[in-house]
Amino acid sequence: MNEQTIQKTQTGALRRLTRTDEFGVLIPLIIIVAVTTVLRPAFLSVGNFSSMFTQLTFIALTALGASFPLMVGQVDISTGKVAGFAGIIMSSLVVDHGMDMFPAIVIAMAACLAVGVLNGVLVVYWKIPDFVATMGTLYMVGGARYLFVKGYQFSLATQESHKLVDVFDGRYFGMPIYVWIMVAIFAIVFVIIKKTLWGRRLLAVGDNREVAILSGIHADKMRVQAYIISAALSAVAGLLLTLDVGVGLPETGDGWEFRAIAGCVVGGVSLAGGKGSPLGVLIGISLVFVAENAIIFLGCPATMKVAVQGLLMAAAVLCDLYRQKRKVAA
Amino acid sequence: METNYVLEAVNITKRFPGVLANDAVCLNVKYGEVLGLIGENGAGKSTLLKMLNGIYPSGSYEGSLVLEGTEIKPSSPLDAIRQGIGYVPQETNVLKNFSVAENIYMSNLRLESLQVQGRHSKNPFVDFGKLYQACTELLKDNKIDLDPKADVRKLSVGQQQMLMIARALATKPKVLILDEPTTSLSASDVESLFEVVRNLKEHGTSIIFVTHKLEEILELTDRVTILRDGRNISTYKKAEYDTMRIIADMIGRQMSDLYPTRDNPVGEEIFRVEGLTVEHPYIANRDLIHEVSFSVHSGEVLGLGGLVGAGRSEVCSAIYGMMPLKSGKIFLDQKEIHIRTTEDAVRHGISMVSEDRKRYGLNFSWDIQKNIVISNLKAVSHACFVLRQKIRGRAEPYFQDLRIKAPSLNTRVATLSGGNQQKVVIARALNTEPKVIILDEPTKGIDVGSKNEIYQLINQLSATGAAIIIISSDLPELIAMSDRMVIMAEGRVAGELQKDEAKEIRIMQLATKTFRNEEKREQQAAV
Amino acid sequence: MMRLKERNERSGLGLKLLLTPEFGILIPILIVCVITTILKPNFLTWKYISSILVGSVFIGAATMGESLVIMAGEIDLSVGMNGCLAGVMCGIAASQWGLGLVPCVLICLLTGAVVGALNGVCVCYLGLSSWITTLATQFICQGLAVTISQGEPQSIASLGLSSVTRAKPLGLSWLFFVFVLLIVLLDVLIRRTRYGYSLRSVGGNQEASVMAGLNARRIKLIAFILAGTFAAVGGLFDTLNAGAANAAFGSGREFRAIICCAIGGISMTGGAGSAFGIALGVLLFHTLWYCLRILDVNTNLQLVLIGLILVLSVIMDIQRKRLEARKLV
Repeated sequence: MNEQTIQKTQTGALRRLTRTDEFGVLIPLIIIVAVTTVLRPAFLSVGNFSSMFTQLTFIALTALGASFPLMVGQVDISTGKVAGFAGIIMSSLVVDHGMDMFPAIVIAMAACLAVGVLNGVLVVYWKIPDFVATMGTLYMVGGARYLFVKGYQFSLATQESHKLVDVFDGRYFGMPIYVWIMVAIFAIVFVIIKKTLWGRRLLAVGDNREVAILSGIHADKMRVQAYIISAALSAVAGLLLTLDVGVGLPETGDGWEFRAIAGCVVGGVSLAGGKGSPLGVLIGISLVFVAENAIIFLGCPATMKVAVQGLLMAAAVLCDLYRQKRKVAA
Repeated sequence: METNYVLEAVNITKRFPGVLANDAVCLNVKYGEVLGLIGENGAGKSTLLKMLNGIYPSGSYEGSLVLEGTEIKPSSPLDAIRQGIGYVPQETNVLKNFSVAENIYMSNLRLESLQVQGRHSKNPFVDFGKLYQACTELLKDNKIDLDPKADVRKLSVGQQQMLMIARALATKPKVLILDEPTTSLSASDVESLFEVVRNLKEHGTSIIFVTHKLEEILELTDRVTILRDGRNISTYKKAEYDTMRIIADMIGRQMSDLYPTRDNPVGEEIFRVEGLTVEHPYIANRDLIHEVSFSVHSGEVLGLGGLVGAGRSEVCSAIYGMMPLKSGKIFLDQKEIHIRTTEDAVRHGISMVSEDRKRYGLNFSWDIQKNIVISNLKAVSHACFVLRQKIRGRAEPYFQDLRIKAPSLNTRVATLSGGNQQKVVIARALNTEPKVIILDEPTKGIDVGSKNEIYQLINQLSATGAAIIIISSDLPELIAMSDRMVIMAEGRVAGELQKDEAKEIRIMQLATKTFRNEEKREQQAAV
Repeated sequence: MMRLKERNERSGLGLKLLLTPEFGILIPILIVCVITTILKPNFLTWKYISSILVGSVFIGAATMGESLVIMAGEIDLSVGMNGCLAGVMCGIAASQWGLGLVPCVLICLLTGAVVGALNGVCVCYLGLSSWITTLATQFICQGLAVTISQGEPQSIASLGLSSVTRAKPLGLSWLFFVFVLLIVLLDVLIRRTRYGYSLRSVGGNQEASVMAGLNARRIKLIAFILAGTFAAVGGLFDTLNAGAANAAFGSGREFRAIICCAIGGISMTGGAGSAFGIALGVLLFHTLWYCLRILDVNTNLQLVLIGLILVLSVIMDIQRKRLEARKLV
């Protein structure tokens, strides 16, 4: 046993890097990029990558949200609809009720947080299976989005007072503002998950609820909080997209929920709970986008994109399963 | 109040419906001693532990717990920890995706000293530098050889056990309870565990060491308390240790006239297993069952004895196709058979009744007759269609023979008493018309009347020429009911006893055996 | 314990009947119909009723498959897209390979069964969780369906079925009669066959069923294969009805199928359910959908109501389980 311990302390920085969870996701990403570049050099262009990056912003944020319930061992499939919900509430308040942008954003966020609370209460306290409960809210929120729709477009751009939309038109350091917002949110969440008490406790709840409770953590409260964060981040994604487009569209966020979960799973968030990192989620969602983009460069029909997503997910889940089932050393 | 005991449990009495699990049990732990707690299965050890560590909250039992002279009333496991009772469970229970240091300090990531509880700092960040430092110190002080930064997933079972001890120590417990800590450890890990325990003792930590293995009591503990039938039997100091006396105190449960006699002749050998070996489901390079061989004859009842965790149920699960075999052969009527699923087992004429009635027992939303016939739908169907009129006819004889007390065959099993549910489970097993019947703790938790009926049923079955394997933790029951006994310990056969040589004391000697030395020799031979 | 018993007895016949899965649904169906009739007197005419009946077969086929998987204690999210892929395969076989009716139908059903088998192997033998596995196959099927159909409708005109599919016996469609036949067959399968008993037993308590000598893995695998096949029937219905296979068919159907199961009294935790309940669940779901539409209720309020109904029916199921569990004491 002594020798083992000595060996472990000797591991260098590089070896420690290769052992992180994120690294495992990075390898397939690099391989796909490398192979596609060798076959089609045009793939590795700044233009291609920056356009991919702008596209993935919103789903990446939704995925970050969806990763929270997954980290505590649950699932939330209402995220996409919540994103659309936030966008439509904000634009409806601004356009129909002449409200200022900022209070409208606050109200929209509050409404989405309420959805998160509802999810949490249904799953944690009413003990409805998580998938079915969030499917219920998926329908409720999905329908409620359309109740705000009138016969005309919620165009934010025509509203004089709303300079915020202009801010979203500009580019800063070569990227639109929302990309930087996304990066900032990921950085903050990364620090929260990796470095704060709350983040570590959240993961502990997902890892082993019994141990977490014995460590004095309020597991049920944490589980509800995970759903609230999920709704909040999805709402941010929906608001950013609405501000970017400048028009409030009810169908915003349709189909995001499962792409988000695919990104999480590919990014190494364990379905068993307790394991996940924002950086991994970002790499995972990038991997999904890059793979989809790569097959188009390689000449496959664009319609195969969805299938690739499915295959990536299946592969990721199998890897996770292998890791979970590995035996402990005697 | 001055006292030289750190923990006193006074007159603890815990009742379950129909059972008195602990009857005025007293337990004292002195400062800085290792107290052994030993007792047969069902002696009341685990009930007592559950009260000490708060699983049974204060108020659900009579008696009082006194820690350092003040009475404590633990209301939950967390509360027990906060009051100063550290508990290391038998099963590995760690955060798999975290580092060693975080596992140890999850309850106190801010590293607040325990004296200033209530005054919480507001810093939301974890200071990992300080955490690793504190962890290194804790591990060094207690001579536990672990790397604070190591990934828990990569630790061995022994190291995870050490981790759980360190985790308990981080809460600065006044008493540390180790619940059968050596169950899944290898011989060398057991030695390092003992080192750690001795070091803890030198530093003044009081420890309750619960075990099945006598050798460990003799080697490690300063005093030993023996429980039997939920009562204190005796407490010995190290100077008074005597193997035979301790064993004698563990056994000696009252014999009653519960057991009907049986005099049918034992016939030919029907069933035999040779060299049955089963890999441990989550520990690499470890056998859960090691080279187990035995045979059963027609009309014979074979008792499978041993203490909980000796691998008795696992042997039966492996025979019944619920665990894959690593090696070993199973013979039925002298022909080798291969069993991969329970379906195979049933087809060959083997049937089993599990000890865990809640989990493996019945479909509680169904009625009695459906639960009985489900094990053999062929008997009530034509082609692939189930004929409903046949279901009643098929289930009726079992319902009558087993004297299941219920209004009718259509009664839902959820409404039955434990004993009657068990009879339905047995009826379901018999419905497959088996040649070999495995009964795992068939009378656990059921009332005396039902017990007697089940014994009579066993005798009837053996009279029909079936071979019966019975697992029981109740020694008098095992001795009375079986013609021959195979005693297991640590996943191996510790010995075989004929009915006339099967005395409780002999069985307990075999059951408390350890194979640490054999295991070491084998390892050396492998190297 | 006594107090619990008293409470149970007090909860009376009315509540019990309401909590019986199959009868519980009839009441909301009736309420919806009555309200619609009051507001729109010509609702209770054969024109509307037949339209509801015919319209429910597409979702109904998928629901039948879904119900088997849910009864086994798992979930299948691929029933919509699997059916879509199967329909497209049928269309391709007819329009591009020039095959006849029987091979086309067989190819369709086989596609569904293969996808179902894939799901089943991953869930039962590899031990993956069912929702993530079937989510992956949902994506894969969707991608394949769009790709091989190249986004174009695949006409099945070559099969010469137009006179059959357009026929309206009793003002209904042939598809409806096929659907009724399938429901009857499913009822026999669930309630009368050895497989049906085994399936319900595994869903009710898998470990107990394994102890009783049932091969739970195989039973679940068969449930997934059957679910795939029923999903393919749904796709076939779509294709026959439209006269062409279209990769846009069946999207979101998996959710609706799960909701139909939930309101049809299929326990979301496995083990209980009947074909009768499934048929009623589908009918309620479709009636509601249809009534709201002809009442010109804001179309999107429908979605909200459906979400509410899903949650309520699951809560009812959980309440029912709790009542049962109390009797365990």
